[in-house]
Order: sequence, then C-alpha cells, then structure tokens
Amino acid sequence: MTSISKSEAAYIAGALLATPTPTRADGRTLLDYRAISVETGVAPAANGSGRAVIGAVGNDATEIVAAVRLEVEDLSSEDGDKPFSCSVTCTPSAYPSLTPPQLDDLSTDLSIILSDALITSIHTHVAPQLVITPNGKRWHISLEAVITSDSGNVIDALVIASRTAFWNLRIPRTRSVEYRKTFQQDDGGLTMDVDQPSSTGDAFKSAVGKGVRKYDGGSGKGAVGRKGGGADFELEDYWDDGVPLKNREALPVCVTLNLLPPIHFLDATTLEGESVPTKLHLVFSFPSPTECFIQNTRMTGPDEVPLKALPDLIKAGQSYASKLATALTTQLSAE
Amino acid sequence: MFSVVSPPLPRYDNDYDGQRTSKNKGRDADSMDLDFGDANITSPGQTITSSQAFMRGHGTYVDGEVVLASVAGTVERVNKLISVRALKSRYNGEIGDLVVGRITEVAAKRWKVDVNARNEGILMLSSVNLPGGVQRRKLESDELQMRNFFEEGDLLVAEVQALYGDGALSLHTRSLKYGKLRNGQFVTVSPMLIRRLKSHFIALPCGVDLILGLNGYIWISKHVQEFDQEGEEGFDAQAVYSNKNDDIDSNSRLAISRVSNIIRVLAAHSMPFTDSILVEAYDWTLEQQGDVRDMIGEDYAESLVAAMSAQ
Repeated sequence: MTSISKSEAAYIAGALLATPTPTRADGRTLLDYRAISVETGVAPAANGSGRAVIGAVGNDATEIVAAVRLEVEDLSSEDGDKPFSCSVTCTPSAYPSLTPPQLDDLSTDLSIILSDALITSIHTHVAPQLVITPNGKRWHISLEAVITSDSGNVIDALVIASRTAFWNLRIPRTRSVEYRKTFQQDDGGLTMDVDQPSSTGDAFKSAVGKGVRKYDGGSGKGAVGRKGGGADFELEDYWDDGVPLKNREALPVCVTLNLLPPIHFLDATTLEGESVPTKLHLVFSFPSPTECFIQNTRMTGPDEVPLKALPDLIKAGQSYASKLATALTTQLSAE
Repeated sequence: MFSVVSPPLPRYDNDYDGQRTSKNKGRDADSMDLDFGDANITSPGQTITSSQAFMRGHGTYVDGEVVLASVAGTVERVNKLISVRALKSRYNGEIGDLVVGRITEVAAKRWKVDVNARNEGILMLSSVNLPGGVQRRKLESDELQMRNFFEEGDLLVAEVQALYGDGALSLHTRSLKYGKLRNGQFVTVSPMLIRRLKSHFIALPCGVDLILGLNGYIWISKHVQEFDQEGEEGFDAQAVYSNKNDDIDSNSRLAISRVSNIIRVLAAHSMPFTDSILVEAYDWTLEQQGDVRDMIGEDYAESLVAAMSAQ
C-alpha cells in the first residue's frame, strides 16, 4: 500500500531543500538523529541480547530486539564454512498494513541485508574467538532480530541492536578433555586425562573419546593452544556465563544516508523515507580510534548519484559512524 | 548529533496514590442510586446496577438481575439507559463525522479509504465533486479516469454519509471545504483524544490550519485565506484535485513543525485536543528557549504537559 501522497512527498522534499535552513517534520536538522536508547540483557535465555530504540518510546519509535545464541558445531561433519546465520522477523504490529506474505518477503529481505552488513565483522573479529577445539568444534552464531515497531531507519537500528547483542555476548569458558584407556585395570575402565597431549593421536583413542561424550552443551575457548587437541571438551564452570568478546569496539555500525541531491540527511522517519527513497547504507568498523574499515556498502532506490559525489558521501558517512560508534561504546561500557 | 541513552523508566499515567476517591468505597453495591458526581470507571465484569430499573446499552450485558460492564470505561446514563463507553477502542464511525483518510485502492466507480477504523471507508465516484461545477453529471470517461481525481496514497478530508451493513463507512466530499489535502503534513494520534467539536477545521493564530479528523488522523497545513468563494464559480478543478503544493515559506514550515511536535507530545501523554489547548501550548512553547527539535526531548514534554494540566 502506498502510504504517502504526492503532495506530502513534495512538501517534505521542499522543506529539506529549503535554503537557508532546511526543516524536517519534527524540527530536527539534517544530521540529527532521534534519541537512541540501548539496553542489554533483555533475553536472559540467550547468550547475548540487546534492544535498540530509535526515537521516543511509543508509536513514533523504531524498536528492535536482537538475541545471539551459541550452538556447538562440528566442522568436519556439517558444512563448516558458515559460522553465522541471521534472521530478522517483522511482526504484524510493526507493519499493520502488510499481509502475511508481504511480511515474509520483508523479513527475508531484511535478513539478507543484515547478514551482509555483519558478515565481514563476524569473519574477521568474532569467528576466531569461537573455536572450541582445533580439530573441528566451534561455536555457531545464530542471531535473531525482531522488529516490534518501525518508524523509519530500520537498517541502522538493526545493526545497533545486533552490535548491542554482540556486546552483551558471553562465551562460556571451556577446556578440552581427552579419554584414554588405562591398561592397568582389568575392568577396562577409562580414565580421563585432562590437558594431556595425545602423543600418538591414533584413531582408536579419538574414537574412544568421541564415544564418551559427556554432554551436549557447548563451550570451548581454552582449546586453543593445547597440543594435539582434545577430542571433546567440557565447561569449566557450569554457572559461569563466560567471557565477553575481545575487541568489542571493532563491532560494526551502520549509517544510512538518504540522498536528495545536493543534500543528504540521516535518520529518516517513515514518511521521509518514502519521500526520499534513494539511500546509501555504509557499514564501518573502528577497531581503534585511529583505524577505520569499511565493511559493507549498499545503495538502494531509483535515483542515480554522480560518481564524483561518492567520495564525499563516504567521508561524511565515516565521520557520522565514528561519532555513533563512540556514543554507543560509551553508553554500553557504562552499563 | 547523536545521543545514546539508557531506556527511560516506564511511566504510569494512573499512578496516583491518594486519588482513589471514597465515593466508590462508600457506595453500597446494592444501591440503586447512580451517583455521577465524578466519572465512574468500571472494569469488565463489574456490577453497575439492577436490570429491573434500567435498560442496558453498549458496553454492558445482563446477567440475571444485574447489569454488568463488559469493557473498561466510564459509565454513562441517559434517563433509563445505561451504557459504558470504553476508554480505548477503535474509531467507530457515526453519520456526520469528519474524517481524514488515505486512499488505499481504486475500484470500479469507488475508492477504498483507510480511516483507521475496523472497516474501511468507501468513497463513491458519485459522492465527489467533479471538476466543472458541483452540478456536473458523471460521465463514462470519469469512471475510466478516476486516478485523475484521487489515486492510491492521497489524503483527503471527508464526512461520513452513511454506514453500510457490514460497518464500512460511506464517505462524501460534497462540500467545498472537503477534498484532497495539500500544503502540510500528517500526524496520527489515538482516536480517543479527539473530542467532538462544533468545527474540526481550526485556524490557529500562528498561521497554521488544523484539520482534526475524528478517526485520529490530523492534517496540519499552511493557512489558506477564507477566500470569498463565489459559489460554484470559485470551484476550480485544477486547484481542487491538483497535487502541487503552494509556495510555503520557512516560517510557516517551522510553525507547522512546532504544532506537530505539540500534538505528538500531548498524544503521548494522553491529553485530549481542543483548539484552546493547542493555542495555549503553542504560546507556551514560544516563551521557552530552545528550538523546535528540543521539543521531542522527554523533559520538555513533561514540562509542557504539566503546564497544560495546570491551566
């Protein structure tokens, strides 16, 4: 359903292009974001979770809840080159005018967009920290995001919520174990050797180890550095949530620049987004205050942008993103 | 530019400790007297009165000898008729209501309009003023060119003419003040906050026109002069169905933004709208320091609401 009329779109565009002072519907300047509120730990059953709300709570806000769940994955048996799966769910309360098939389509689209936005960061920063045992077990990340309310700028909000969930993520501590048969006892009992490097590493021992799987939970950060590698692992402490990710400042942020040549603006509400449909989404990562990496770009919309405008847009996007990343880091560190 | 905060604490509008009046406590449950000094609030399943003496209306049901409320709301009594008006419900159209709607579909000889109610509104081609004069007859070519008048996404103001059997509202724009909306912006609030007024076309002194649709859709636009309409000669087709906005200067735009923020703040705090409240709120915001965009902050909203409640 089209939800804007031509005269509304012309009014909004005219206001944005007005000189000397562009005005927006709620009086913000072109580069003002609505107030962002972030909260961690909203889903206690997940390994990491967060909620991001852009705008005031209520109808005029975009609200996303994201949760990360870790599951043990065996690299050798399944296709091990996908450490990360992500899905976005659009609730009917967020989009009351859409039919269920349209909601499914929108959910699929946003899942792909969010996955593209985060995949680089997962591969470079997060996945190396998720190895359990060197010979084939690791944590698989499942990220789920639910959009409970949408009033514009949903992609930025999705990345903020995902970043918050990863910030909150706790990886359980593990250590690898290995079983070997002791030959002194007649009953053929098995003793457990912890931290013993397997000198021969023959197939029988590792098969035995596999056969005595103690649990099906997940853990395993301590396996790195063990010689020979345990075939199995255990949680160091059942009640311990685990350790947070290292280098959380490197998690990505996304800024969406809405393009209305010659100006661009940030944080469009729903009506503004429909009136100015051409957008440039940029995903940046700032591992340290001096470094900046661009991880994903996406341009949507019907209009074209002259090539020489692009470097300035990317530079502008970088400065906005670094401010956003700093603000988010400060707020989340303070929690 | 960016302000990242922790989430605000939930606000409870009904968190009044000492305000539970003794009226309800002192009332005898079997008493037949209905005391309406203050608004009597009921919750679903609560006994109102005996069914022998009173007839039941909307929002109530009879169980044996008593009339009980089926919704949470205020009890209203008209002579012998008891009804309960719900505190929060969808907009229910009534004949003569002024509504602002958005076209969702163009069908054969009619448009389907979203009016934020349980059913959609239907605007028949025969219920609109066709260009060329109010008395112009409908032609075949009009049916084939309906998108020249209204197309999907257009906003319009109309009056409810009748109700269909299934609850759909039949709308008409047969007056010169109704029709397509332009030169402004659109805000949505809960329908409960719009009271029935004598006129829903409000001209604020700051040069802003407001149309308060009873369905909760509000249109804020630049002030148009009450041009002396010479009857039908003043009805120009190009003007009425055009999508082109007039030139709007930045002062008007700023005033429109200010009014829309006031409306959002009052709606978020569940204060009903009348033109007098809006005028006072506008003057109050002008007295404050700060830009229009500061109005969306939480503290500003609280102080505005407090100031309005005091008056």
